[in-house]
Amino acid sequence: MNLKNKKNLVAKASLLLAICMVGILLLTGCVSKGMSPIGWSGISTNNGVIYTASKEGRVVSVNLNLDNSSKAWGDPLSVPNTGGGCGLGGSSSSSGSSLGCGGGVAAVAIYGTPAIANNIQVGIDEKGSPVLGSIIIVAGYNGKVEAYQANNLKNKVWEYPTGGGYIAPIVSGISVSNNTIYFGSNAGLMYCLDTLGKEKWSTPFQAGGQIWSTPIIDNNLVIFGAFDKKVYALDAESGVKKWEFLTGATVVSTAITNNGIAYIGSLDSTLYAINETSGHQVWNFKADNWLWAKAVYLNGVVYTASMGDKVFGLDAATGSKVQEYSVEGRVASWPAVAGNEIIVATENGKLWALNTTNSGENKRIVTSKFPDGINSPLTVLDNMIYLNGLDNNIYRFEVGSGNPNNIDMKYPIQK
Amino acid sequence: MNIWDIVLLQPMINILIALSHFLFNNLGIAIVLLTLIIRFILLPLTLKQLRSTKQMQDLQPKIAELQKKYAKDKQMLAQEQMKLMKESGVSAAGCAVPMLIQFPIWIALYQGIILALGAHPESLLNLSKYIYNWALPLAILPLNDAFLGLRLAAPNAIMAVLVGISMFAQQKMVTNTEGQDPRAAQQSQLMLWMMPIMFTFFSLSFPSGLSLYWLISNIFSVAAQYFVTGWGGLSLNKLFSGSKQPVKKG
Repeated sequence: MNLKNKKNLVAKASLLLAICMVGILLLTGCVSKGMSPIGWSGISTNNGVIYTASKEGRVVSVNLNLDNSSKAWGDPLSVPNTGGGCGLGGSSSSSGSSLGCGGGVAAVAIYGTPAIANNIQVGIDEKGSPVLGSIIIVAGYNGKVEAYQANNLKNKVWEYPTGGGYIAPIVSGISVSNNTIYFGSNAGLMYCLDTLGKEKWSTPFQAGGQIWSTPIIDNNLVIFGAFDKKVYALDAESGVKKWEFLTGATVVSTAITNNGIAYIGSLDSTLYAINETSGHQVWNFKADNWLWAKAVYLNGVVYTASMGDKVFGLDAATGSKVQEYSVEGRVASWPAVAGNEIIVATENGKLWALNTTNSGENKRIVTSKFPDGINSPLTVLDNMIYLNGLDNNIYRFEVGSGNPNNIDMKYPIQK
Repeated sequence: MNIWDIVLLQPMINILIALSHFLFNNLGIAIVLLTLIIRFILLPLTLKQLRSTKQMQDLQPKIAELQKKYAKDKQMLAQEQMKLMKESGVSAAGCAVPMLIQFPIWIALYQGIILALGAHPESLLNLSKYIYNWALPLAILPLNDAFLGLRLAAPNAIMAVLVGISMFAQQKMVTNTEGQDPRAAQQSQLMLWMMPIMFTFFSLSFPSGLSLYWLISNIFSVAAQYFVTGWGGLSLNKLFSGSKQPVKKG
């Protein structure tokens, strides 16, 4: 074969290879569009600044006292090298791919709301004295927890694990209590760190399944649910298990506590009230569908939103149903309380305010401007609702505006 | 949900989950069984495609002769090729149409497996939308992804290698360079190696539940190919004689 023929063959082979690659990318990437981890971080506030995570896998801050340009970003969370290739997204460290379909390389998904810890050493001044400040802590699906200086997000104060290490993907949010940080991982481990990122328990606690539930700390207990259908309570100091409670299905929801009782929903469509001291059931309530979102408590009533388009108001002491609302959409986002109203967001993009003072179904739509839906937790601050939209914008609404199409403020958070 | 979801994806997911539920809550067995069921249902189309491909391959020496004969007259060559194929009862559509019909079902199965794994929050939330409430209790989700020591939601290197080997075997059976001109023969050899390498590469990054589907599907294809053509390029004689097929000089 002469040189020209050889060149022809190489060109044809290259073309064939390229066509095959594109074909397989289309097959495996585009047909799995919408099946990749994206993240739905909520919003936390500290001294007039709000913090959240963007869909690019960065922590973002917006100073509410200044104008819309007063934003700052941390560096994007890093993508672990898992040995795969071909631009597979970082949000797929252990559980599937996220081949881009025209969207470039996927970012690390962040599900938990950034946590804040105050009076932490964030650096050293010119005289060698420690500089104290607040840190913002985020956990990523890449299996890394990172802490940033709150007023300078470019300064990463620490990371866990250090260096090139990664743990299993993290969906669980982070809780901070008494200068201690708690979070769970997809390996079923509950971790406990100090505010300098050092492990506090001798070993992380091993549950029987993945932990997506955000741990809550009450009465020196760390309470959370897991994929093994159990709710666990650990001693917050030592990590030793105090009790476990078996539900009928996976528990991805996060507990709330009030007056010595933990309330937590399960994918068996049941809300359980569990005595924090004994670990025994106080009551349970069977809803119509999965209970994914965290419940909220207001004036002696626990409100739980289901994936069956309903919100139930239950007497906190007895579990008897006192109210029921239809919200015309599934609820995965954590509701919030604003005055005497429960604010609920649905997957089909509606934001409801449910009045709790009347016995009837008294509700109104705050906005219905989210066709892509809402999964991120809601935050209420000074009678304003904040949420992190799927379109990489932070939205602000006045709770009582009465105008269902009113968006008070929209902050793009993509860098 | 769109028409694709309602007609193909939703039934696929519900069957997969129901199988898993009734097969000891084992998603791995459900994937194997559903892959086999679908491949058996599509078997007539598969066989038609394989037979058409074989007929096409059998014509290769004659086509090569025509190419040589009408090297300088492309129009005549096309006419003669059409005539030859018509006389032999072979049609290019016979290879492509059965494959095109099967393609949406494979994609739906692929999507169904990805969704059924419910590996991350978005996919689990998505999955719940597809479940027929009257048929299955939602409490069985997410499915148990443990299978023969594998986590089906995570990539697995051994599965990736098995996918590569099974695909190579399938490609080797299909590849027949006898009678082909040297360039076509080299392209066939390229495909023989390229597809297994690429699928191994992808299996390293995808959930091993998908690799399991590819592996079973490849094994089925090998069996179907054997039924139509015998071992082909995988026969011991051809394996030990190496890849140096007798190639006509151009």
